[in-house]
Order: sequence, then C-alpha cells, then structure tokens
Amino acid sequence: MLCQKCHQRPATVFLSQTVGQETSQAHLCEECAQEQNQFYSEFFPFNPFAEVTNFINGLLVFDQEQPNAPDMNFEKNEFETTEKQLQCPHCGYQWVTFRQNGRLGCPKCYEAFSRYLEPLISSIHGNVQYPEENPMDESKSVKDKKEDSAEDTPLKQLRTSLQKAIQQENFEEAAKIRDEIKKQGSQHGF
Amino acid sequence: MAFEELFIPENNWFFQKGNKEEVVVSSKIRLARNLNEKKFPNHASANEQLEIIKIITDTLKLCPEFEKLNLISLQDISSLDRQFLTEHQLISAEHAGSLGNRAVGFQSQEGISFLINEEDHLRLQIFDTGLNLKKAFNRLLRIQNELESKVVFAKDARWGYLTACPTNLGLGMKASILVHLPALVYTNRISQVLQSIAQVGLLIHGLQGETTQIAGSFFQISNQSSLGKRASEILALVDRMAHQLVDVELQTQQTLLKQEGIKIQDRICRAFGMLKNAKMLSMEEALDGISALRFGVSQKILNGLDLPKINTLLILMQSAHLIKKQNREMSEDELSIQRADLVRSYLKEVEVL
Repeated sequence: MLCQKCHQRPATVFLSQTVGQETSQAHLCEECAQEQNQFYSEFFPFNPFAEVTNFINGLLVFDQEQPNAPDMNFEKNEFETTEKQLQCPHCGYQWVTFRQNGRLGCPKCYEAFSRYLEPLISSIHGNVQYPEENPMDESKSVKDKKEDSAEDTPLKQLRTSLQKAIQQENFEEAAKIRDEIKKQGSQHGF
Repeated sequence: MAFEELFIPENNWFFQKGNKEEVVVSSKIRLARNLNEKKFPNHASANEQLEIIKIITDTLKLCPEFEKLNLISLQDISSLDRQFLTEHQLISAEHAGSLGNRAVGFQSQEGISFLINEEDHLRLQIFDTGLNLKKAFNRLLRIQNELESKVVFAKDARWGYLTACPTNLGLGMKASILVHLPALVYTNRISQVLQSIAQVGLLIHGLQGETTQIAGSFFQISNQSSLGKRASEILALVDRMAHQLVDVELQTQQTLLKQEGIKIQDRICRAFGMLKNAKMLSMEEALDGISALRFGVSQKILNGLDLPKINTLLILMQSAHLIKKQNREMSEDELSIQRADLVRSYLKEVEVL
C-alpha cells in the first residue's frame, strides 16, 4: 500500500484514532509521518502525537464552538466569565491550568470542576458510569450469566458470526455485524 | 546503585517461556491509583511529594511479600541509571524524565514494579511473558486489594478511581500485549489487521510505548478506556484480539512458507548471517535482524536459540544497558560495536536447519 499523503513511498506507519464511535485512520510512510503536525490536520480531528492536553483542549474547543452540542450543559458566556476564576477549594488548582496541561490538581478537583468535566469525560469514555457492583472482581456479573444460559439468542448468534467473519478476515462483514450487535445490545439495555 | 543482578537473564521475568510466545512477546497490566485528599504529583510541592512516597513505601513494606522490595529514589540516581530502568521496563520514560521527588519499587523476577509519583501517586504494573493477561491481572489485583486494605485510594461513585488525567478514570486499568507480526507485515496485510483492531476500540503503539514508530514488526495493543467496563470485559477483549492475531499471523507464516518458502528462508538466513558477522550494529539494524530471527526460530528454520533468549537480547542490547555493562562513556560507534559483540555472543550456537 502506498502512503496516503505522498502516494509515492510504501506506507509503513499506520495511524488510527477513535473518538467516541468515530475512528479515523491513515497509512503513511516514515517521511510523511515525521511531518506529523501538518498531516494531522488533514487526516484527523485531533493530533494524537501531541500531549493529551491538546486532545483535551480540542474537545473543549469543539464544545465551545458548538454551543448546542448535546453534551453541553452550560452556556458559552457563562463558561467564559466563570472559567478564569474557577478554582478547587481543596488544593487551589485552577481550571485554566487544567485547560493548559490536561492534568488535575488533586482528586477533589473532580468535585470542584464536575460541571465542566462531565461533558469532557463523556467525550473521552462515552456516556458511561462506573459499574455498581465491584467491576475489579473477576467473577462474572449476573447479566453475563443470564446471557450465557440463553443458548441461541440472536445476539449470541451474531457474536458467533462476527468471530467467523474475523477469522475469515472478512472485515467489511465483521464491521456490519459489529454495528448490528451494538444496535441489538442497546435495545437489550446493556 | 548496583544493577548487576538485572544483567543476569534468570533474574528477570522476560527470561521465561510464555503461552503463545511465537506471536505474543509479553502481557502487561497497569493500574493507576491515588491517595485520597493528596495533591497529584505534578501539583504537589517537593515536601508533599516526599510525604506521598513515604506513605506508599510504608504501605508496601507492610505487605510481607514486599519486605525485600528494591526501592529507589529517582532523584538520587544518574540519568543513565534512569534510562537503564526505563529500558528494563521498570519505569516509564515520563517517570525517568520528570523533575521532583519520584521513586520506584520493583521485583524484576516477578515483573512487578510500583511507579511512585509518576503522573499518579501510584502506578502498579506487572509484566509476564507470552499471553497471560488473566494471571497477571489476578496477581496485580491481589496486590491492589492488599494495599487498599491499608490505605484509602481516591474513588468516585460515577467515575471510579480518580486519576490525574481524566482519560484514566474508571478502573485506572490498561491491559496490553506486545505482539510480533512479521508475516502480516511482509505480506502487507498488516494495515487491514490494524484497522480491525482499531475498529473494536483498541489502541495500537510501536515497540517503545506511546509513540507510533513501528519497528521490527512489533506492535503494542491495549484497551483505551476503563470507565463503565468490568475488568473481566477488558481482559476478554484484549485476550480475544490476541488469540485472533496469533491465529492469523501463524496461518500467514505457514502460507508464506508453503508459497514462497525459499524466499522467506533466504531472508531469515541473510538476517542471521548479518547478525552473526556484523562488527557494528545500530539499534534499528539489530531490531530488524532480530525480527527476522524470531520468525526463523518460531518456524524452526533456525536451531540453537529460543524465544526467551531473543526477548532478553532485545532488552540487553539497548544503549544504557551496554554503557552500564562496560561501565564507561561510549560514542555511538562504540555502542554499535558493543551491540554487535553482544548479538554475536548470543548466536554462537545457532545454526540453519
């Protein structure tokens, strides 16, 4: 495969980034990969070479530019006026510092900045929460057991055909089945 | 600081045979944890950083199995020593390069290290050879649980374990595998395979961690987020992918040998000849050659070398290891000479079947 940028040298570097449900990818040669910052603006919404900071700022800027985005729960003006003063009462860390380096000051910062962090965390991890029963525990959850016992649920059949498709390297078909599993999964509530 | 013990292969986790080792070089689990109510390392003052180190090391010493843990303050050792620890995969490059009071506790034979005041107060990590995520995770979970019974880690009902960077929220967990996929790279099927890996939401990195440079057909694959998931789901996802990669890589190796056996043998034997005779080897040359050698060993084209030895060579041939072994400063050329010497010494008994 040839480099997607110069179309001359063979692509030896594969780059991929998943943000939420969207995956962006590029196949590049070493030389073009070196010019990371330039090509990233062409191929990717964010630059994964840059520090997580940039990634996070990207998300925040993105949010600001689209005040009607579904996960926005604050008004633009309110954001701009309160942003500069926002500070963690426990450790004195400022929200603006987080926006510069992508790191928080202490565990309590999550509480102090929760309103601003919520949309950001959803963008990174999806709209999810820490599971209620101990998720570190290796033993299976009740849901998993139920699914296992129901022999030929459509979902299980889909999973089997997904495995087959991947084994046969029929990746297009696999992607279709994966989307169908996602759809059915959300209908079943997990 | 003496690191002599670490030069003896048997004293390290990587000198062991592993499950599916033809393709999976190693498995790694990392957990990020922070003390409640303490500032994260990068915001903490020098004294606060020392306090964090004290709390964590005191807690570790309370565990009977860690009474004899090697504990090192990173600011007390030279930058060469820090690079050595990074090459030995006991600390991260970020940990080695940061200013301030940082520390590491490790047991190299078990592949366990505790990175103190890296980005988070504590990062527990464990390595194992081959594909062994579950065993490695269970071992680390036991340690985590033991520590958690002695000290309170910062945790939130919605977001799980609280970390300095919001990307690590949830279980604070990263499960990764280092895989060697020479046949998929050779046949150019790798891009398709990497695409399917990315599509299931897994991350792909090159050999040296969080860079995208792909060297010697080695790839690191890990989960992205650990919020909203159970540990068992994350392990199963990475494990399933590992099995698929093992199957497809080994199938491709077999097909290649059937269809163009002599060409492949030629490539492997040429790489072997180069490594066996070279007087100077750059890191890149050595890595590419060893990649071909690894293929030759797993397909039984070469005899007299096993995969644990190759894994050991990959660690020992790095610059800081060569410098510390000779115990003197060296130019790039001298490093290449030392690297070639080391590689030749490993290939003395090797022969083409």
